[in-house]
Amino acid sequence: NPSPSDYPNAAIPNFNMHAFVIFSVFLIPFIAYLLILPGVRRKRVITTVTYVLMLVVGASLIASLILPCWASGSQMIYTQFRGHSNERILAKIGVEIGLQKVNVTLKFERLLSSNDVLPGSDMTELYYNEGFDISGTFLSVSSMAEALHHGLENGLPYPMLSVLEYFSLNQDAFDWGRHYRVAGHYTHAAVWFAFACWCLSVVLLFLLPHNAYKSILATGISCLIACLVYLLLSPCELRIAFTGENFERVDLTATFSFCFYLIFSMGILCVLCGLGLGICEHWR
Amino acid sequence: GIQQNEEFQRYDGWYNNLANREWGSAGSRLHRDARSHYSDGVYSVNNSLPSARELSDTLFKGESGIPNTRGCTTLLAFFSKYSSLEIQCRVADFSGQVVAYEIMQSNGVSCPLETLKIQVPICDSVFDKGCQGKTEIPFTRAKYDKATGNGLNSPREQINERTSWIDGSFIYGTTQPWVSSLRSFKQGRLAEGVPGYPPLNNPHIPLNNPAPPQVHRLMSPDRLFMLGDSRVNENPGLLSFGLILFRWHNYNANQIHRKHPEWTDEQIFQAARRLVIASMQKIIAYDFVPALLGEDVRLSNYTKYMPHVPPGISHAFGAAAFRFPHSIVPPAMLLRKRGNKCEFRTEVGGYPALRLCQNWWNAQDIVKEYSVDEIILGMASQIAERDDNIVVEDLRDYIFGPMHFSRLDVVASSIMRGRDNGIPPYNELRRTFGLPPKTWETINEDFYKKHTEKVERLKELYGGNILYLDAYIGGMLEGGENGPGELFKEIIKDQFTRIRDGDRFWFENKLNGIFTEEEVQMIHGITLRDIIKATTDIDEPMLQNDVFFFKEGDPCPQPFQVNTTGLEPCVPFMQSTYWTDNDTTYVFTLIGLACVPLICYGIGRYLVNRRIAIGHNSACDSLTTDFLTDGYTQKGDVYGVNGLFWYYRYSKLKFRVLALEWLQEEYIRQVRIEIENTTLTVKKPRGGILRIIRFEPGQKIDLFHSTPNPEAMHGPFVLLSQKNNHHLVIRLPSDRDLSKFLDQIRLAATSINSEVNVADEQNSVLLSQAITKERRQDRLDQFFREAYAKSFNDDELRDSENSFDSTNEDILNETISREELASAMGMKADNEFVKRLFAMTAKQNEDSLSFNEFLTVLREFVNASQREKLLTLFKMCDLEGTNRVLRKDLAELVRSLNQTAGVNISEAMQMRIFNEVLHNAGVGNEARYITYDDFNALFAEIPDRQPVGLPFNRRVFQPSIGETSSLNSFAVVDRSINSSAPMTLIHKICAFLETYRQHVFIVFCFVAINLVLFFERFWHYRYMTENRDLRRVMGAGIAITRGAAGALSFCMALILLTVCRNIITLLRETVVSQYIPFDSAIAFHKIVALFAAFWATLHTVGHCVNFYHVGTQSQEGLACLFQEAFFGSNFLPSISYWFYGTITGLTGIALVAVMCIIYVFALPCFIKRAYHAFRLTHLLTIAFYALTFLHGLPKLLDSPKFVYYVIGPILIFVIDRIIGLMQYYKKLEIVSAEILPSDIIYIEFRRPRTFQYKSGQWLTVSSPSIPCTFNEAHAFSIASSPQDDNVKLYIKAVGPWTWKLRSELLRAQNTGSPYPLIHLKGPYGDGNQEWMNYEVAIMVGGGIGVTPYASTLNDLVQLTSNDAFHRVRCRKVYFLWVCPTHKNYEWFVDVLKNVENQDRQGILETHIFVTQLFHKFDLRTTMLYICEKHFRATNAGMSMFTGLHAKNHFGRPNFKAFFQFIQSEHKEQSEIGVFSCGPVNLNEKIAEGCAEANRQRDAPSFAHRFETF
Ligand SMILES: Cc1cc2nc3c(=O)[nH]c(=O)nc-3n(C[C@H](O)[C@H](O)[C@H](O)COP(=O)(O)OP(=O)(O)OC[C@H]3O[C@@H](n4cnc5c(N)ncnc54)[C@H](O)[C@@H]3O)c2cc1C
Ligand SMILES: NC(=O)C1=CN([C@@H]2O[C@H](COP(=O)(O)OP(=O)(O)OC[C@H]3O[C@@H](n4cnc5c(N)ncnc54)[C@H](OP(=O)(O)O)[C@@H]3O)[C@@H](O)[C@H]2O)C=CC1
Ligand code: HEM
Ligand code: HEM
Ligand SMILES: [Ca+2]
Ligand SMILES: [Ca+2]
Ligand code: NA
Ligand code: NA
Repeated sequence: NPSPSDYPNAAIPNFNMHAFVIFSVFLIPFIAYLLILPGVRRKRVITTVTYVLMLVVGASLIASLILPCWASGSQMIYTQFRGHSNERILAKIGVEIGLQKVNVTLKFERLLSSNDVLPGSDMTELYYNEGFDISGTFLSVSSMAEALHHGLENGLPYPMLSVLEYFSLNQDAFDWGRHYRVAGHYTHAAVWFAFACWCLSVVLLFLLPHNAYKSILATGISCLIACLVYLLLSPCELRIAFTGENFERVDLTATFSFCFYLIFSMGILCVLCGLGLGICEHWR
Repeated sequence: GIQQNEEFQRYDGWYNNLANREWGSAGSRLHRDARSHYSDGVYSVNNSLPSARELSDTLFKGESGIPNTRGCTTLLAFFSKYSSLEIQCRVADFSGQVVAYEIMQSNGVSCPLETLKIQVPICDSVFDKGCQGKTEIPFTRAKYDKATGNGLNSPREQINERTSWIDGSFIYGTTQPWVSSLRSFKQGRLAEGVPGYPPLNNPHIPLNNPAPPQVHRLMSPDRLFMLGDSRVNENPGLLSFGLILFRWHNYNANQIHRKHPEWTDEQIFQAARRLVIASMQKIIAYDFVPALLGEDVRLSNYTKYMPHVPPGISHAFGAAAFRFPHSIVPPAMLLRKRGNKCEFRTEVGGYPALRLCQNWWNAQDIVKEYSVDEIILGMASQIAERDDNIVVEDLRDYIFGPMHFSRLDVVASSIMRGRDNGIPPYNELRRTFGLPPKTWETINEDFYKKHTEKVERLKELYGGNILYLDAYIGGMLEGGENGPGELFKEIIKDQFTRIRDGDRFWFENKLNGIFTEEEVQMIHGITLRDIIKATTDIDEPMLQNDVFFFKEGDPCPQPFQVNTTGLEPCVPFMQSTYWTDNDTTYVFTLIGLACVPLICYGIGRYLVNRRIAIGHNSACDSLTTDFLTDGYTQKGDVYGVNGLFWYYRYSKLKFRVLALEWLQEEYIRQVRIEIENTTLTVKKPRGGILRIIRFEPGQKIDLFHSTPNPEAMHGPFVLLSQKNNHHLVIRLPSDRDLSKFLDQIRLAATSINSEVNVADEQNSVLLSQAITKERRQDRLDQFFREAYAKSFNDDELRDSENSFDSTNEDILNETISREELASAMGMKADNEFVKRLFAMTAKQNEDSLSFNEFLTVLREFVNASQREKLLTLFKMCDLEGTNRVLRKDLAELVRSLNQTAGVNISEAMQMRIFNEVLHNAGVGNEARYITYDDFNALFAEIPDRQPVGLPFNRRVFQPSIGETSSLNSFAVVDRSINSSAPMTLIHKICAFLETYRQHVFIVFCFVAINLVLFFERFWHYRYMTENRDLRRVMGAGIAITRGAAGALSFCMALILLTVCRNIITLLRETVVSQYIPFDSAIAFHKIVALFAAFWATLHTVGHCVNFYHVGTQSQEGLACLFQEAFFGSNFLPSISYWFYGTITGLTGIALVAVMCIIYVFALPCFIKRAYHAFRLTHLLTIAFYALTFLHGLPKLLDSPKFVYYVIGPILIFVIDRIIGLMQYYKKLEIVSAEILPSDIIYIEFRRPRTFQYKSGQWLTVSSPSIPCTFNEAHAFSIASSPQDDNVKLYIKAVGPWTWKLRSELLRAQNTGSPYPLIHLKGPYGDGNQEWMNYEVAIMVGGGIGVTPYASTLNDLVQLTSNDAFHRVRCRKVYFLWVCPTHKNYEWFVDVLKNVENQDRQGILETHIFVTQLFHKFDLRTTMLYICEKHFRATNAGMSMFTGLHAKNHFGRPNFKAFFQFIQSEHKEQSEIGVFSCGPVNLNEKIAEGCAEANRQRDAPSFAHRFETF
C-alpha cells in the first residue's frame, strides 16, 4: 500500500481518566480484598466491614476533593449561543461547583429557529464540558475573570459565558464566585484535614487498633466541619437568569449536591463508628 | 424589525466585529491613533513637564457666568460632558456624562496603585491657603492592560471598561448579572421602585459610592438608584438623564407589549432595548455631535457598515478632546417648575440655584425632592458657560476627591491623564491628524491678543518650547466662539464616525436585518425632546424644539446667567487620614499584647506561690490520703474520716498521730508524732526516730497553727518553734487532731510548769516564718564560715555579702546542738566520736556548743601541731582523764566510725582487725589500756603522714582549704604528660571544637538556614513582587515580617523533630548518631524555641507596624492590597477589623497569647517549681500549630506556606507518637518492691514480651493509682540488664510523684494489698548506651545516678564473659561510683559484687568515692584507712567496707587528675568515652575535666555523654 498509513481520529469516550486513576487506588485494594475474602477465617464480618468502611470513606474524601460536585444545577434553556447568527436552540446548561473547580456544561437539545439563509450546521453533537479554576491558585483572585476572558477569546457559547460572568465578578453583591472560592478554600482545607485523619485511622487500625476510634472520630468531625463551613460560606443564592423552554424566565440555581451529601454522610458514619468503637474500648 | 428573532447584541460588546472579536468590548484597550509619548518610551510619565495645577491656574482660572455664545444649554453639557474627574478610584469618575459614559470609562485604578503628585503652586487659593508650599494633589494612574507596557514596541495601553459601541451600556450595564439585577422580568420592563424610578441599591450591586466631599464621610450605598452605569448617581443632571433613559426603555416596552401582547418578557425586553439603542445612536450621532462641534461639522452621511473600521475610543479622544465640554459646565443648575407657566425655583436649599460642588454623590436626594422634570426643564432653559479657556470652580477647584484629599481639579487631572496615557504633545497630535503645527502665538490668535500675558506665562512654564505643550492645553486654547478648535473637532468627529461605521448593530445598517426601512426612518425622527416628552410630565409647549440650544423665541428663558456669586459656597477641601479613630484600638491592642507575657508570668508566680502556700505540690496533693500505712492498723483505734484515716490512741500520757512533716517547700514526709510525758518524738511511720523534742521545765513553748478553716481541704499546720534548731512544722490530719494535740502539749507543759503560747496564722505566713532545716542550715553555714574565717584569719571565707558587723553579733551568740555538729561532720549525733568531741568541747552547757567553744576546738585543729592534734584526739578517747585510753573505748570509737563509713563486715571481724592494727603498732593483744605513745605509733602508719584535721561540711570550707579529693591514691601518674598543658586561646578553641564539633556544626547549619530563609523571603518581598501593592504600603516591613514568618515556619518544623524521642532512639543505633548529637536534643529544642521566639517577636512587631500602615490606606488602596479580602463600598476597615475581624488577626493575637504561655511556663524557674504547669501548658503546642495553620489560611497577603514547612516534621512527629503508643505497655504488675535507705524505692516488674532495650536506656512510668492531674509519666533509667527477665528500677523519692509511689508501695506492703499497677513507655535512647563503642570507657555514677550502670555493668560482664565474639569493643572500663556513703546503696554493692565475680577478664576497674568522709584533713578517714589497709591485706584485697575488690576513696574525685591518669595509661587510644549520670554539678565537673584534658592535643581525647537527674 503506497499511501502513508492514516487512521481516523479516535472518538474520545466520555471517561474521566484522572478520576479513574485516583479511584483505582481504592478500587484495587478492595478487589484484592474481595479476592482473599474466602480465605479469611476469623472475624470475617468485622474485618470486612472495617475494611470496606475505610475504603469508602477514603474514596469519598478524595472524590470530594477532586470532583466538582459540591453544588450544582442545570436548566433547560432557550437561547442564542453564537454571534453572527440568529439561531435559537434548546439546550441544557449545567453548572457543577467543586472546591477548586467549576464545570460548566452545555448540551444541545434541538434547534428552534433560524433565519439563516445557509442551511444550519449540524449541532446535534454539540456538547461542552469545560472546567475552570475557581480557587485562584497563587494570588490570582481574578482567575475566573481570566477564565471568562479566555472563554470569550475561545468563543464559548453565550450561555456558558453568562455563567462564567457570574463567577468572574467580584464586587459588592456580585460576589458569587468569591463566595464559592472562599467556601471551597476553607472546605478544601477541612477535607484535607479529614483525609489526614483518615490516613492516621488506617495506620492506627493496623498498628494500634485500640486507638483508632479517636482518629475515626476526628475524621468524622472534620467531615462535618467541612460541610458546615461549606454551608456557611457558599453564597445564599446564585440565580442565573435564562429564558426557558416556554420562553419564560428560568433561573439556573446551584444547590448542594453529591459531594456535599457524601461528605456529610461520611461524617455521620465516622462519628457513629468512632463513638461505637470508643464505647467498646471503654467497656472492654 | 423589532421582532425577537434577530441576533442578540451582547451586553459586553464582544463578537460585534467578525475579524476582531474583542473590538469595542468592555475591557479592551483604548485605541492608539497617535504615537505614544512616554518619557521612557514604554510607560513613564515625564516628570519634568510643568505642574498641571500651575497650568490649570494659569490658563483655566476665571469668572463663571459667561454665557455660551452659541446658546448651548446645560442639557448639552450634561448630555455630553465627559468630566475627567480623575480622582483616584474606579469609583469616582466625576460625571462622565451620558455620551462619555456610554462609550468609555478608562480611569479605573491599576494595581498596584501608582500615585503621581501634582505640585500645587505656593499660596494656591484653594489647596494652599496657608502658603505652606507643601500640598500635592494626588493623581492615580489608570488601569492598563498588563500585557502592554513591557517593551518599546508595546507601550502601556489603558483600558476602556465600557463598550465603545453606542449600545445602551449606560442604561443596561455591560454584564449579564448587572442587566439581570435591573430587570423586572415582566413584560420586558426594567424594575421600578416607586413608579418611574428604579429600585434603590439594597442588593448592593457595585455602584460607585465615594464619600461626598461636602459631607466627607462614607455613606450607605442603599441610598443610590440602581441603574446601568455605576457612575450614574454622581450629580443631579446626569442622574436625571439616567432616569429618563430608564423610563424610555419602559415606555418602549409598554408600547411593544400593547402591540404584541403575546410576546414574552425576553422578546419585549430585547425589542425595547434595540429601540432604545437605536434612538441613542440617532441622537448622539446626528443631534448631539453637531450641536457640540458646531453646525459646520457633521458626520458624513452613513453609507454602510465598514467592518475594517476600529471602533475603539482613542487616547486622544478620551484623555483630551472629549474633555472639551468641561468648559461649558455651569457652577449651578436652575430648577424650573413644571406646568404651563414659566416659573423657576428661587429657593433651592436657600439659594437660587443648585450648586454642583455641594451635591456630588447626593443626586438622588435632589432628584427625589425636585423630580426629574424640574431638573430637565431647568437644564433646557439654562445657558451653558462659554466655550473658552475658563472652567468653573466647581470643576476646577471643587470636584470630589478621595477622603484624604476631598477636592480635586478636573483640569489638572485632565492634563495628567494625557501624560498618563502617553498622548503626544500638541503639535505632534496635530501632525497625526493632518493639521499644520502652531506656534505659541498662532494657537488661538484672538486669545493671544486678548490674553497675551497668559500665553506668555504658559510659554515660560514650558521653557518656551512648544514641542512640549500638552495636547489638552493646546486643544482647549484653540476653542472659541464656535466650540472646540480644529484639533478637537477632528478627533471627536473621527471617533464618532468610527463608532458608527464600525458597528454591525448600527440602526442604519441594513445588513444586520434589525430594522426595516420604515423603522429606520421612524428612528431618524426621534429627538431628545421626544424622549423627554415620553418620559416626563412636561407640557409640550414649555420645551423648545432643539433642547441642546436655547434660541430666541424659545419658551421660558433663564432668569439670569448663573454665576458663583449668591450661590452656596463650596465646602473647602479637606485632607483627612484614614487612620482617625484607630488610635485607641491600636494603642490598647499593643498594650494588651505587651501585657500577655507579663500576665503569664504573674500566673506562673502565683502558681508557684500557691504551691508554697498550700505547703506542697497542689497538683498532686493526694499525699494527705496516705495515712493508711503502718502497723497501727492492727492495733485498732482506727478512725476514718472522709476516707482519711488517722490514728489516735488516747491515754493520759501518750498521744500519737500520723502527720506530714513539712521540711521545705517541696519536701514533705510522712511522720508519726508521739507525745509522751514531756517528750515529743518525730518518728518515721514504721519506727525509727527522726527527732526528739524535750520540753524543759520553765521553758516557754511557742506554738503556731493555721487559722481554723472548716472549708480547707487539708488539715491545719502546726509550728513548734525551737531554739538552736529548726522548727518542727507538721500538718495534722484534721482540726480535731489539732485540739487534741494542743491539749496534750498543754498537759505536758503543766507537768513541768512551763508556759504555752498558742497563736494562729495564715498558712502562707506560718510557712514563710518557719525556720526550716534549710534556713537553719544557712545560719549554720554562716556560723561555721565565721569560725573558719577567724581561725584561719582569712576574711575571704566569710560570706562576702554579710558584712562582719551586721549579722555577726548574732552569730557570736548562736549556739549549735550536737545533732548539728554531727551533721556538719556528716555523722550521726549518737555516734560515739561525735559524742566525745561534743562532750569535750561543750563546756558551758552540755547540750549546746557556743561560738567561742567551737572556735577554740577549731583553732586547736587548725593551728596546733600534729602532736597536739593527736593529743586532742587522745583526750577525746580518754574518758576518765587518766592519760590512758581504755582499749574498749578506742575500739568503740573505731566501730562507730566504721559504722558511719558503712562497713560490710561483722563486729567480730572488726574487732579482729582492730586488734591486728594495734598489734602492728606495738600494742599487745592483752593490753587493756593504750598510752599516748601507742597512739602516736598507731598513727605513724599513715603512709604520707597527712595532716589530720577536723572536717566540716565542705560547703563551708572546701574552696579555701583546698584539696579534699583522694585521687592521689591513683598511684600511677605519668609525669611525662605535662600536667598543665599550654593553654593558648587556639588550644582552647581547638579543644572546644573537638568536644563540640557536632554541636557546632549543627547549630551553625541551623542558624545559617534561618538566615538564608529569612533573606530569601526578604528579598522576594522587597524586590520581586512588583505586581503586589504590599511593598508600596508596608515598605520593608512586609519583607521583614514575611522573612521572619518563613524562618519561624522552619523553626516550628524543626522543633518537632527535636522531641521525636522514639525515632531518635532508633536513629541512635544507626550511623546518623555519629553526626548528630542526639543527647543534646532537648538543649537544641530550647535553642530552636529561642529562635522561634525571636522570629515571632520580629514578625508580630513588624505586623503591628504594617497594619498601622494598612490602617492609613484608602479604599482603593485596600482593594489592591487585599484582593482576597473584600469590603462593601461604604466600609473602610479599621484597625480593629484587621486585628479582630479577620482570621489572621484573631489567630495572630491568639498565637501571641499561646506562645507567651508556652514560653513563660518553660522558664527554668517554672520547670523547676511548677513542672505540672509546664507540662500542661506545653500541651498548647497543638493549639499553636493549629492556630498558625489557620493564621495563614485566609491568604490575606499571600498564599500560606506554613504547611509546606511543617507537613514533613508533623508526619515524623506523628509516626514518633505512634511508635510511642506501640511501646506503651499498660497495667504491668510489680512483682517485687522494696523500700531502701536514702528514700530509694526498688521496683521490679515482668518485662513485656516486646520490650527490648539496651543497657543505659530509660523509660517512663506512670501509674493509674497515682492520680495526679495528668497521669504524668516520669523518667527512670533501667537498672536491669537487657538479658534480665524483669525490668528493675531504682527510684529516689524527691517530689510528689515519687513520694506518692513510695507510700503506695508501703501501704501495699503493710496491708498485703497488691502493688499499684504501672504503665510503661519506652525505652528511650540515651548517651549512656554507647559505652560499648569505645575501647576504653569511663563511667561515673553519682548518687541515684548509678542506676543505669547497674544495667550497663551487668550487660558488660555478661556480654564479655560468655562468648569470645561480642558487640562490645571495650577492653577496659573504669567505673567511678560517687556516693555520700555506700551504706545506703547496699543494693548497688550487691550488683557490683555480682559483676566483679563474673568479670574474669578484668575489663572492669571500679573506684568508689565515699564523699561523706574526706581523704585528707580528716581524722576519721585516717583511722579508717589504717583498718582498711589491714583488712585488705588479710582478705585477698577485699574491702572491709564493701566486700568488693573495688578501691575505696574518701572524698570527691579529682577528675582532672583522673583524666590525666587515664591519658597516660591509654596513650594509644584516640578517643575515650566518658559516661556520667547524676547531679548537675557532678556532670559539670566531669565536663570541665574532659574539656581541660582535651586541651592536651597529643593525648587521647574524651567524649563526654551524660544524663542529668
Ligand atoms: C532520663 C532520666 C532518667 C532518670 N532516671 C532516674 C532513675 O533511674 N531514678 C530516679 O530516681 N530518678 C530518675 N530520674 C529523675 C526522675 O525522673 C525525677 O526525679 C522524677 O520524675 C521526679 O518526680 P516527682 O514528681 O517525684 O518530683 P517533682 O518535685 O515534681 O520533681 C522534682 C524535679 O524533677 C523534675 N521532674 C519532675 N517530673 C518530671 C518528669 N516527669 N520528667 C522529668 N523530670 C521531672 C523537675 O525538674 C522537678 O523540678 C531520671 C530523669 C531523667 C530525665
Ligand atoms: N530535696 C530535693 O529536692 C532532693 C533532690 N534530689 C535530686 O535528686 C538527684 C539525685 O539525688 P542523689 O542521688 O541523692 O544525689 P546526691 O546529692 O546525693 O549526690 C550524689 C553524689 O554526687 C556527688 N557530687 C555532687 N556534686 C559533685 C561534684 N561537683 N563533683 C564531684 N562529686 C559530686 C555527691 O557528693 P557530695 O556528697 O560531696 O555532695 C554525692 O556523693 C539530684 O539531682 C538532686 O537534685 C536529691 C535529694 C533531695
Ligand atoms: C516554639 C515553642 C515550642 C514548641 C512548639 C515546643 C514543642 C514541644 C513538644 C511537641 C514537646 C514534646 C512534648 C511531649 O513529649 O509530650 C516538647 C517538649 C519539651 N519542651 Fe518544648 N516546645 C516549645 C518551646 C519550648 C521552650 C521555650 C522550652 C524551654 C526553654 C521547651 C522545653 C521543652 C522540654 C524541656 C521538653 C521535654 C518535656 C518532657 O519531656 O517532659 N520547649 N516541646
Ligand atoms: C498580632 C499578631 C500577628 C499579626 C497581626 C500577624 C499577621 C500576619 C499576617 C498578615 C500574615 C500573612 C498572612 C497571609 O499572607 O495571608 C502572617 C503570616 C504568618 N504569621 Fe503572623 N501575625 C501575628 C502573629 C503571629 C505569631 C505570634 C506567629 C507565631 C507563630 C505568627 C506566625 C505566622 C506565620 C508562620 C505566618 C506565615 C503563614 C504561612 O505562610 O502559612 N504570626 N501573620
Ligand atoms: Ca457603550
Ligand atoms: Ca467656559
Ligand atoms: Na484615561
Ligand atoms: Na474599546
